[in-house]
Formats: sequence, C-alpha cells, structure tokens
Amino acid sequence: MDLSVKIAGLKLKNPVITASGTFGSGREYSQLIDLNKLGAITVKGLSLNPWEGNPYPRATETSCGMLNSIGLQNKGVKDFIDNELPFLESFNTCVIANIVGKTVQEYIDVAKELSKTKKIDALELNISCPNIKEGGISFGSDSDSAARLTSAVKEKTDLPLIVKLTPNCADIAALAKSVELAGADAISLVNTFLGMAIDIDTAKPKLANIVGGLSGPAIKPIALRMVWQVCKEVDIDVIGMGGIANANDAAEFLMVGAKAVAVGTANFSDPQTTIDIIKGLKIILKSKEMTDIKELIGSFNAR
Amino acid sequence: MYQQDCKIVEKEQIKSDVFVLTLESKEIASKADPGQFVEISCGQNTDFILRRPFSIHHVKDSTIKILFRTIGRATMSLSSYSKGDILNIIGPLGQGFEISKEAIIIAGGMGIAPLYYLAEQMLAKGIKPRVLIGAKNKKELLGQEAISELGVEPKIATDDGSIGFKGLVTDLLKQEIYTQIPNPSSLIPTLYACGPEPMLYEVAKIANDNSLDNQLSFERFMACGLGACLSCVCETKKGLIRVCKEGPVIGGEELLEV
Ligand SMILES: Cc1cc2nc3c(=O)[nH]c(=O)nc-3n(C[C@H](O)[C@H](O)[C@H](O)COP(=O)(O)OP(=O)(O)OC[C@H]3O[C@@H](n4cnc5c(N)ncnc54)[C@H](O)[C@@H]3O)c2cc1C
Ligand SMILES: Cc1cc2nc3c(=O)[nH]c(=O)nc-3n(C[C@H](O)[C@H](O)[C@H](O)COP(=O)(O)O)c2cc1C
Ligand code: FES
Repeated sequence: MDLSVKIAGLKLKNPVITASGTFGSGREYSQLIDLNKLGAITVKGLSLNPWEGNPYPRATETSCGMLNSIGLQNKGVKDFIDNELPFLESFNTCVIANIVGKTVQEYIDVAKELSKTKKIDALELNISCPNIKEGGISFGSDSDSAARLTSAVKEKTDLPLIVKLTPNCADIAALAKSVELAGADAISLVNTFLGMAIDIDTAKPKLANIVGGLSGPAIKPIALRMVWQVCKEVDIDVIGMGGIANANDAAEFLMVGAKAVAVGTANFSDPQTTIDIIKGLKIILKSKEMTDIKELIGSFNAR
Repeated sequence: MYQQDCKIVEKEQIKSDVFVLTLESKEIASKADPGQFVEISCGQNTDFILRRPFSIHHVKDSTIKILFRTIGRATMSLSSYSKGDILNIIGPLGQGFEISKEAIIIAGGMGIAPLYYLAEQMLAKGIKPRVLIGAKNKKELLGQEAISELGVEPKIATDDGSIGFKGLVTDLLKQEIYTQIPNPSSLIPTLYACGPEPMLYEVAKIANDNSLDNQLSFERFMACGLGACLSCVCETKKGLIRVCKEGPVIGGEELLEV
C-alpha cells in the first residue's frame, strides 16, 4: 500500500504532518512515538531573535477545543539550528520550519539562516498567527501584503515555500490565489480562529491577552470548508488542517483535495494520534479497495 | 516517560468530593519521584479534549495513587470511573523534589497530594520531616490521618480555627521557625510546599527572610504536559520556564517578586 505523497516536489512517506506549535521540535514527543514514522514534522514558529510570547494565562479549554495566545514564544532561529536541528536530523523524517517575523526583512533573514543549513526540507511562512500585533496576521489578512511577503521570501530561498493562511480573512480563496501568483510552492491552512472566553465569576478574560486562537475538533467543519474552497481555486499543493483527531477526519481533508494533512491540538489529547491516523488511513484505503493514497486524494464527489 | 492504559485497581471516596484512585503501572511506578505528576485522559467525552495533570500521591509495588477533588467536568468524569476500568496515562512527568536531611513540609488543601508521597519517601530514608497542613476548616482538612499513620504528628491550621491553629498555615510556619528549637543535630531545614499560589509565594518570602532553602510545587494550566505547547510558563529569574518540564517543583529563590 502506497501512502507516499509529494508536496511542492518534496516526497513525504505518508501524508501525516505535525502542526506547528503543537509538537515542540519533536524532542518532546520522541519518548512516546517513533518520529521516523511521521510524514513530516513542522517545528514551532521561529523568529530571528528570541521572542517572549504573551503573558500567562495563555491557554484555556473550550467546548471541543481550546484557545491559545502563546504569542510565538521561541528562542530564535540560531538556538534552533544549534540545539534542536541536530536532534531532528537523526530521524528519517522531513523537517518543515515555520517562520515568523515582525518585518519583511526579519522573515527574509530567518529564511536565509535556515536555507543555509541545508538540513531543512521546506519553509512554512506563518502569516497567520492571530496572537501578535505586528507581523503574523497583519501580513496575512489582506491579499496584497500576503503576496508581497511571499514573493520577497521566495526570492531569497531555494527551499520549497509553503504559505500558511489565516482563516480570519474575508475571502480565503482569493487570499490563496494571490499567494499562489506571488510564487508560493504550496499552501497550508487553517491556522487558528480568533476567539475569546471569559470567567463569569471574576468577569475577567480567561486569557491574559483577552483574545486567542481557537483550535481542535470545534473548528473542523469550517476548516474543511475552507480547504475545499482553496483546493478548487489553486493548482499548487495544499496541506489541510484544523481539528483533525482521527483517520476519518484526515480522510475528509484528503478527499476534498489536500495532498497532506497536519495534526495539531489532537497531539495534546493523545500523543499517539498521528501514528493512529497513519494506521487508520491504510484501513480506509483497504475498505475502499484502493492501494494508493493518491486515489483517495480529491475523490470527493460534490455532484 | 510512558504512555499506558492503566487499570484502576482500587477506588476510594474519602470525602463527598475527594477521591483516591490506585492505578496499575509497573513502569510509571518504578520511575516516579515525589513531586512528579501524570497526565490522565479523563473520559471518552470529546467535549473536553485535554488531559488533566495530577500529582503522584503514593507509589507501592507496581501501582501509583492519585488524590483528586472534583471541581469541574474532567474531574467529575474521572470520579465516575470504577474499579477495573482503564485510564490512559502519561508519566511520570516533570522534576520532583530533592530530598534534604531536615525538612518542614507545608501543605495547603489539595497540596497534600504530592507531599504525602514526599513525607513517606523521607521517612523511608530515615529522615523525619515536620508536617504542617492548612485547610479552610475541619471538614475540608485532608491528610491528617494519613500523615499520622506514617508516624509523624502533623500540625494543623484552619482559617476558622475549627481544628488546630486558627489562621493561615504560613503563620503556623512562622511560629514553627521562630519558636521551635532546631533539632539537636542543628541542621537547617528546607521548606517543601504545595498549595494555592499565594501560599507558595508567602512560603518563599518566609524562606527568603530566614535564609532557608525551599522547594515549591506549582500548578499551571497545562495543555500538553510534555513541554511542547508553552502554555504553562512561569516567569523566574532564569527567564520563562515550563512548569510541566522544568517544574512543577521550583526553588523559591528563582521566583520574581519575593
Ligand atoms: C502539576 C499539577 C498537579 C496537579 N495535581 C493535582 C492533584 O494531585 N489533585 C487534584 O485534585 N488536582 C491536581 N491538579 C489540578 C487539576 O489538574 C485540576 O483540578 C483539573 O485539571 C481540573 O479539571 P476539571 O475539568 O475538573 O476542571 P475545569 O472545569 O476545567 O477547571 C477548574 C479549574 O482547574 C483548572 N484547570 C483546568 N484544566 C487544567 C489543566 N489542563 N491543567 C491545569 N489546571 C487546569 C482551571 O484553570 C480551573 O481553575 C494539578 C495540577 C497541576 C498543574
Ligand atoms: C498551542 C498552539 C500553538 C501554535 N503555534 C503555532 C505556530 O507557532 N505557528 C503556526 O503556524 N501555527 C501555530 N499553531 C496553529 C496550529 O499549527 C494549527 O494551524 C491550528 O491549531 C489548527 O489545527 P488543530 O485544530 O489540529 O490544532 C498553534 C496552535 C496551538 C494550539
Ligand atoms: S503544558 Fe505544554 S509546555 Fe507545559
């Protein structure tokens, strides 16, 4: 049975990827699952210099999901290259680096540092984090600035460039089209949906940042709809995510046309989720008398 | 660190809202230090999706115990499980306590959960800790009998004075430090505390004022418990630390604003 897929020319042994920010740099999960089995690992968002993130509390659980306002805390790209990349290199799995910046130049600098290592398989441009004021979503919610950033980074790297879209925008298909035209090699979506929760006893917000990004099963139907719309609109490869917790969920995203899927919040519920999805996809293929995952991809019949 | 399906071999209800579960796991039991915790998947209900952290309360042979209070949907769900049922558990997690030769243990409310195991491990090493337990009132007091059974008579503080000292357990701690003649060995005690955050900060302050070492077990909201999500951070002099990974036990001298 062939589960392998290609994303922007990059071959993955199966279509199951870990979503940025939910899997650390892989090390945190390596005692519980065999990282060699994953299609790819997407690491936590990396900036040029260390970022502190937002004040605590930064996360809270909501019905069938969670809100987070971590704010892209990370130790910076150099620390990642020196201390985490050598560890990831010891596994036979593709590594996707998620990059963030407050200015176009910062995105370019991070991309250059990572490209130089020759040990990263692809870059994922995070223009969709709802948790920081500058950078992130301010680049991602309108088509022009998203396109400008995409082409600026694309010019400075030879790595496949995946652009991660925010669902917090007016027209997701138009946004996707504009980053495709600007030179993106692939698109991933969705990042989290802006939301909030309050504690009625104290009348205070549950997150110090007041608002945060909603993820988990609660967002799956909306994410699936958006992935479907984007797959219809663009010719480049699409990575689908948002609330995927089992093989059936993953199959839905693949059937609407995503070439691969990413698993985020479900890693917290059960660190075995990615491994279970890989096994489950084989069972789904078998039940459909398919031998290649590529037969499942795009098999959605809207009529 | 292990992730396992563990059988509930015993379930006890010790108060209307407090339960003890004994869970079978040779691997977790063999590695668990006092102060470490486990992440438990508390039900099949997908309304709540995150695991919940619980301190390791006791270890015996191939079993561990957890002590918990039902305060919300996950702990309610957990309390509905019965002997023979299976729970999926990850552990042991985090950094536990370091045992010193002279100790004062300060427990506030559910804080007794990890500290009972600490006291027991100290006694097994021939160290006799002094134990102070705080509670709102007599009815909510936890751990008095269990600690006595270990052979240490705990001192009690309640907010309303319904049993023991009337006042905060940290006021009782001050009394203990200022009035008690140290052991003949004249070893300087280390303070070990777990309980509500204001209590921990007060213990850190008392320790600081008296130049005592202190180890405090913190609680933070945890989404992953594994060090991956950065939701459980605490600001310290060393910068932001992950309470699930570098904690939950933190040296009071690391805290800001003490
Ligand atoms: C390291 C650690 C050890 C703990 N040990 C014990 C123990 O031994 N016994 C015990 O009774 N309780 C312990 N707790 C607290 C326990 O995890 C919470 O009581 C439990 O998560 C509440 O879940 P709930 O759904 O019933 O309540 P909810 O309705 O979700 O929330 C009630 C309260 O619990 C807090 N809470 C909710 N989810 C989490 C989470 N994932 N992590 C941390 N806090 C949360 C909320 O902020 C809220 O104040 C510990 C917490 C930590 C961080
Ligand atoms: C705690 C947390 C941290 C995240 N950090 C990042 C990040 O650094 N970069 C990024 O592009 N997306 C980040 N995300 C978004 C996820 O990668 C993913 O797009 C989103 O959570 C939807 O998928 P899910 O429902 O499977 O979690 C984060 C999500 C969570 C829950
Ligand atoms: S709970 Fe995820 S890093 Fe601590």
